[in-house]
Amino acid sequence: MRAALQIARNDLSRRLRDRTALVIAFVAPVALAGIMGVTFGSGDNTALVKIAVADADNTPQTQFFIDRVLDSMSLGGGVAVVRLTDVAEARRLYEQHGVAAAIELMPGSARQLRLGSRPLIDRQSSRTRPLGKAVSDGFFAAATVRSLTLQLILTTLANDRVPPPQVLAAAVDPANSATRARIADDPVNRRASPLGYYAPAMGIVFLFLSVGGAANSVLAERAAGTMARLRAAPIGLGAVVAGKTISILTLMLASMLSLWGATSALFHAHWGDPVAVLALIAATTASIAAIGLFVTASAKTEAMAQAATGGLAFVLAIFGGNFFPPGSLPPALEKLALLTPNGWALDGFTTLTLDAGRFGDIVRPVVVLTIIAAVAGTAGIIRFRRVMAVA
Amino acid sequence: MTVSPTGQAVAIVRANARRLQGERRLPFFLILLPITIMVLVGTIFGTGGKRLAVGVVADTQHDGLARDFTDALSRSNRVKPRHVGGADAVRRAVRRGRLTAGVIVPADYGASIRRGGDGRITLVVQPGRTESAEARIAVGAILARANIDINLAHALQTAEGLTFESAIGRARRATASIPDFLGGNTRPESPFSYTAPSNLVLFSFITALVTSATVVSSRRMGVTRRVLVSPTPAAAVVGGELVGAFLVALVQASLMLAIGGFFFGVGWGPPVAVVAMLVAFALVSAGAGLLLATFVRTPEQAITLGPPLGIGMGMLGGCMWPLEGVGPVMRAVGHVVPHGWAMDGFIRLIFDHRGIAGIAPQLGALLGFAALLLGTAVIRLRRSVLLS
Repeated sequence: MRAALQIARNDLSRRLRDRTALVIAFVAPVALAGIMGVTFGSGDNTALVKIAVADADNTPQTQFFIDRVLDSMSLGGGVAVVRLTDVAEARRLYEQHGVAAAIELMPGSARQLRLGSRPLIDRQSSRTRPLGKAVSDGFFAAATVRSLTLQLILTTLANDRVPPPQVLAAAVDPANSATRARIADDPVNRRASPLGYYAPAMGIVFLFLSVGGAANSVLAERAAGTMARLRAAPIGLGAVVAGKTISILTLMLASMLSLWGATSALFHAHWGDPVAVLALIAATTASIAAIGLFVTASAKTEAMAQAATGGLAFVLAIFGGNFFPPGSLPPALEKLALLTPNGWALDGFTTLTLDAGRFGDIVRPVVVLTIIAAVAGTAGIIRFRRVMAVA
Repeated sequence: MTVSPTGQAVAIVRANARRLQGERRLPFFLILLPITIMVLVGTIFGTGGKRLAVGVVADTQHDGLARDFTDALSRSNRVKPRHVGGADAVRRAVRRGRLTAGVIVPADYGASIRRGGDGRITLVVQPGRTESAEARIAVGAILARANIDINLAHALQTAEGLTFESAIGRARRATASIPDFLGGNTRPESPFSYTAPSNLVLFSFITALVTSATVVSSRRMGVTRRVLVSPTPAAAVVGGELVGAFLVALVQASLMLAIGGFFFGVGWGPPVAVVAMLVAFALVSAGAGLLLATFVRTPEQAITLGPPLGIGMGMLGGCMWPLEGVGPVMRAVGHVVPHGWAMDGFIRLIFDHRGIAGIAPQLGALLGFAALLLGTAVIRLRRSVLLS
């Protein structure tokens, strides 16, 4: 065991002198998770978009019309409305990305309203700003429906004479109505920062790259003849294998733990119950190390090993869901994700961070990841011993 | 026979191309990976035709008004209602992102409205998620449309003493010609319209960074030194590497463009403007690749650092998610990297149907990046070639 630890210490100290390995294990995951964290914010209910509504006529009628249409749309806290009277200013804000859409009631709108018609509405919106476009389309449709309703009441129903159309017109105005179907928001997940999910998702991808780099060094040592010299020493092959495995596992564990620490300290990410997070990190790291070991030990050259682990990292990340927000995979792909260690690990991290789960809730992913680690690890070590035996 | 410096540069390009042909990783990174990601991302987040999944809990068996409401949800082309077992199941599905939002219609919804009270529908949303807000607008619009009939029915009840059932029936007949709020709104673009350019930008850049390993490899193996012993000027060596890097980036980008256009129906825009964007971004990618080659010591370092560097810049520049959905600071940061400008340019061509004049600022910015990166790379490369 002493020999194994000595080999592990030596291997680790050499690896820590390799700046590329440090970047892949520590810097890149924190940097990418940080970008995601800053981009997606803290998950609170502040406005997601601003919408400009410009009223060129700025008369009591047009102001009332805009009030009523916005009220009927129940926009909620995610949309902030900027009221303006200058159409050019609204367009400028839209062009400069100050607002996600601009709704413009053009000159002559007040007259249109007096005639019982829809005001003249121009819109600036783009399909690449979906929420802004949804609000802009919604406003146009709500304005159309409101005008149509009033026209209908004033013409069709007016023929009945009872009740007078003005009474009906007033009654269907939401502002005058006590009865209506309303929306009451029920925000879930207020506490959790999305980084609690994205950080481990990103960390897992880099675990694959780390294990690839680390295991490659074994092949490089074989090519350089270091392995042959190690075997000439009075230590068993098992000690060499154990030493190398301990070194790889330590680096990967340190990578995930530093990501957890850095994202918690710098971005207030909440990964969940610490005991459960530790268990999940350990199981995830072991399973990926085992797969990496198996793949690398099966490769003939460093280049092949690097291509295989790099390719595997991306393929498993894509199908495991690492590059997508939680829950966004279609049902069929969600099932496919559970054929990958990434899918199981992310299922566990999602439970901890989004469902505020405890250790008992992640037993299944931990067990599955441990089984993967045991199976792939055993196969990897057998191949690894063979690699070194011929060194 | 003497060969001109141009001929020597071409020979270097050919030699590098032959070495790349023997590289077995290339088809995976150049073709298979980008296409797989494009298809997956396009299917999941496509900009066209996708309806937002909204979970619904409602007693549609016994409550007619609740049934009317869920029927209206089904007609909307913005949301796709999915009936879920209960309120807790909806909250859990929204929390885990499986549903964009959830609608819980209370058991006394219809009864309350009949009595003249409020029908308070609970909307379960994920704060901070744009799609949740979009679903809220769609649900709000459907409720607003329903309110017209409900309020008209109450007005008729008050005026004529009708029962609620008779009044709502008459109200519906009277308003039958009024459409659902967002009924006719279609989203015609290919679902790959955003993912195709974002993958083009992302992968042509990463490929340029990764294939810069050949430059490092030439330097490490002493090929550059041996070439310089021959009557080949340093300029020809640098020029050869530069043209090679540019061609790799251009081929990758063109491949993505062709796949997006032919297989996924992406309308890229006016050909002249598209070609200008491709050339400008290939120059940027080549410059970045060559610059990376001057900083790393081994080919493995270029191969290892290229993907995270490219992914990070892609994230900032809007290749992973639209910059339109991020805050003003991150949007500004996204334009510190060339990816942000490239995405803006392609978006203007594909979505806003602009011509070459409409993307002049983006082209200018990309050419500026290209000049800066290529200039620095050439100076450093020339120095390293002369020192080798």
